[in-house]
Amino acid sequence: MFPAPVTPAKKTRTRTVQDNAPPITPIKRRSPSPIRTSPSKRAKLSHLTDSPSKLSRGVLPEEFHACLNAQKRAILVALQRPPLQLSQTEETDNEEEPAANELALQQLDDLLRGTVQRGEGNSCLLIGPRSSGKTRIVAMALSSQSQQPIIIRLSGHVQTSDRLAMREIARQAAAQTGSSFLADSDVNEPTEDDTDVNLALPPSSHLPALISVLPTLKRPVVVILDAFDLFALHPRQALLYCLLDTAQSCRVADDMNGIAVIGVTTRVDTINLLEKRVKSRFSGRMLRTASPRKLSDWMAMTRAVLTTPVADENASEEWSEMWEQAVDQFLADRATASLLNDTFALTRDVATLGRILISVVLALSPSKPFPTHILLKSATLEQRCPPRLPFLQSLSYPCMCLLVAAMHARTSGHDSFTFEMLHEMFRDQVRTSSAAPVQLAGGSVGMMKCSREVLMAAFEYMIKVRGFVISGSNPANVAKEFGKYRCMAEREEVKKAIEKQGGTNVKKWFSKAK
Amino acid sequence: MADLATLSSSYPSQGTLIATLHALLTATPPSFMHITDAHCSRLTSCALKRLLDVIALESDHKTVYASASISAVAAFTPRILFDSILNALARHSPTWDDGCANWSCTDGARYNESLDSFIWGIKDVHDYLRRNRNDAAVEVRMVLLVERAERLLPELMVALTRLAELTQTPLTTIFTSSLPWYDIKPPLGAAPDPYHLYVDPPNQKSTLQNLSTSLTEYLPSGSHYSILTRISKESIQSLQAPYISALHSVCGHFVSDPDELTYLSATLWPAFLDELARLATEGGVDYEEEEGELDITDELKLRLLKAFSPKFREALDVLYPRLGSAPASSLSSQVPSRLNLTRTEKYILIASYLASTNPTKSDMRMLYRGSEGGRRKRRKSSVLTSSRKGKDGAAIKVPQRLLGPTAFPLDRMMAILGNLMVEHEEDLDFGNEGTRERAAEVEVGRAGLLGAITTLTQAHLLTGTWPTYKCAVGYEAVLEVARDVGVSLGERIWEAP
Repeated sequence: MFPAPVTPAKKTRTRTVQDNAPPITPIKRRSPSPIRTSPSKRAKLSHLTDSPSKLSRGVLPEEFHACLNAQKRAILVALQRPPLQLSQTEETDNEEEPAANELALQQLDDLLRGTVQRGEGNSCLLIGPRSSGKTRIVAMALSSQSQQPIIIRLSGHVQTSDRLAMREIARQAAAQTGSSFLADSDVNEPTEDDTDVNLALPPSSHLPALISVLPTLKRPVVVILDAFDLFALHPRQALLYCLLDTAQSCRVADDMNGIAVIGVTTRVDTINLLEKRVKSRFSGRMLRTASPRKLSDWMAMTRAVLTTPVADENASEEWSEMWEQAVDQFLADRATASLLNDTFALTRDVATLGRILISVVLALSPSKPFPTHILLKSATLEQRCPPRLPFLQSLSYPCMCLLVAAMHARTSGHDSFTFEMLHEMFRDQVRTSSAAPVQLAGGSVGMMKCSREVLMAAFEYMIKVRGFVISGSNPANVAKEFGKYRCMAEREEVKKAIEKQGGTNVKKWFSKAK
Repeated sequence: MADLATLSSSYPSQGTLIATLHALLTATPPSFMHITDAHCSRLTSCALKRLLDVIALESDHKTVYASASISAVAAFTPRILFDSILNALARHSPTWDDGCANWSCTDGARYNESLDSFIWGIKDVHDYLRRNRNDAAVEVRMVLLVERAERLLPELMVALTRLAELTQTPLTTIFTSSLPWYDIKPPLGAAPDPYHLYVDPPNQKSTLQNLSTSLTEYLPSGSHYSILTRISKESIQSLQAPYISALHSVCGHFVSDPDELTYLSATLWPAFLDELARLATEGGVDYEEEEGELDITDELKLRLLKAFSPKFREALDVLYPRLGSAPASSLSSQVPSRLNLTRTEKYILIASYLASTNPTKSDMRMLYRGSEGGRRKRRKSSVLTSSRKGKDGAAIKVPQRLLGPTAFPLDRMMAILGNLMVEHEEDLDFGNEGTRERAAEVEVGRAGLLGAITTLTQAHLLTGTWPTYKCAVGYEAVLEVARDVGVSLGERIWEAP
């Protein structure tokens, strides 16, 4: 239970409690959290607090610091492997169809068992959105097999050609079987020979020979093709053809073992990319993974991650009770729920949720030991929609002037501008603003002057941070002050930045651009 | 922990980042992170490198930390990138004696020939680091820091972001860039989304702190004013705070990068001390007479700052755009280098500037002085700053002067040149008005003039090849040349400022 101090200043105490985590009644846990607490609830809250030192002003007492750190570490570990949406969290879901991931895992497991135990040749595609657990399902299915197969992992991002893939297959197979099994059939066997041969890639003509050797190895072979859609872009899809053909024509025999080809991809139309002869050799099995379907799954996942038990010797009973209460209160908060709901509505990407929670957990400290919706809000802003133009947060005076001048150019109908145009506008503005015969404290009230070179340096900075980008194609031999650029910042963004940082003169100049 | 505290205090605006990264890297980091820093990237990369060193020192019997930090600008080919990453992770530095060989687990193994060899290399480094400890339970954590990730070779970027998954090792890739991830991410969602980290923009407090920590190393040495040696170190150090805040109050508006301000302050500090010596010497005889240490009075301090404050602005204008170099002596003699041209060349330059900026149709009106010799009517100057649009909503036309020079045929420039000469060269007078023009024509056709054009082209004052050229000199420079030969340029430009 969240302990509140007994003695000093009742008002501060209640505020502290509200700031950290609005308390709720144990009966109506899911109800929107009340902002005010009744005296009886307050009494309930303080039943744990025997000593006034505990959590005075919301600061964690020292004996719990280690617990907090252990809890943070445990959550960070858990976030690396978020729950896979496998087990149903509530009984009410039983009549609905089982979660997609569970189904996929089941099917993949069956398929691999066929290959590993019965020597079948199998192929399938695992399709699902990013961070929906494709790779982890493959890993789980592989680890649950009775016999460890030879695993060959290829990635479309790395093995960008069939010859690179062939060499990698030979290398991984050699590393796992411990013998250079291809030495006689492939003269350019790369792993065993000296470095000169190492440089050469095997010729493509060896491809069918290499692949057909795979089922004859001592153990069954599982080939995992990550980014499967990229393999389909290789010329003639030779690798895919050979692999799928071998898998299809694999017959159970004494000296033969099974082979499974698993393609992993995010692209739903991958099957259409396959050529006809390749497609006819593919089994057509497509397993689908999915992100959480319902908000309740999403919330349950958040709760599961946040209440990860601390597997540590310094885990204390009192702490875990306190922590769970705090997490309950955090999740029951209406603001928290709406933030999580927003994220869920925008993206069902579990990785995004994970990043947001990492940020929340990292922000916890002894002075703010429990998650709050304020932390969640800033974490969401930071991780879900990072600022597009981070340089706007801190602008020097020349940069502000350049931005305002660019806005003026835009309002006068020139979306693209040269440095000379901006410089001339700036110079004219300085001239007109200092023309007023008013003096303040011995100085002119006009805009600060700024030499052309300093302005040019600022212009180059803006190009570096992509505040200004080249518009169209600039001919190669154009001097830098005449290159045409566009401003990436919108008027509203500039307005916000200028209002926050700019002086009166710059603001006035900006307001003239309409 | 003490190291971490000193690190945070020496990089104040990176403090939050350092704390967050330390917490993440010593716990369970995500496999890919991206740090956006648009404000002071050099300081951030220094801070990150030192942080990685601090973390490496925290290795114990349970965990070993290895890190590699590379700059994507320096690693401009895949081989360099692969080798430098593997060498750094294995803490191997190639030496002359062993033939500058790169790190390899077994003799002759090469990891730099392609991406998949590199991935094997990472696996081998991981095994090697674990074996080094002779402890099966030891956990190896590797961190790869890539600076200026926007310059990475595009074909390597996806692989680096997925390196942990591809190598099946606990490796964390950190990209730092002045651009947000949104701007540099590879197409088609090929790379996973990173954990985003940000560097706080520098504020006044952190900038002043940066400046004061960097200045401590610059105490006077070898100054030609002997009086400085009689001033105690403490008094000189007491000058640093007002010096820095004066510098910041002048230059802070124009430059927000603390790194640039540090450069300015380090450059000006010796000149500031010289000024102190000068003031102290001329300030009073009593300074000369007294023996022993001198202390700086408040009055002297005020005078010094007042006398020196214009220097800040001058130095900013020269040093920030790197027009001059750091040595203080060069600051005073910074005059823009004047073009050293012959009279003909000056005329050619003016004529080609006019040909490059004026519309062809305006030539007759602007340049040819007919028999009436009346005033030229030129177009009203730039209306860019006015907010109204042109007729029926069309954009207001921007003067050519601001859009850059256009190419012109040599003949047109020759004609303009002839007119300029008729008007301004008294030496061309061969008699009456009728022959003057012919004389100008003769003058224009001379071989020397074509030679002068070649010279100007070689000096890059004109660009292009025969028969079309462009003027490559700006308005200010041409204005100066025109003043030299007495041509009033403003009258002849179609849209003068």
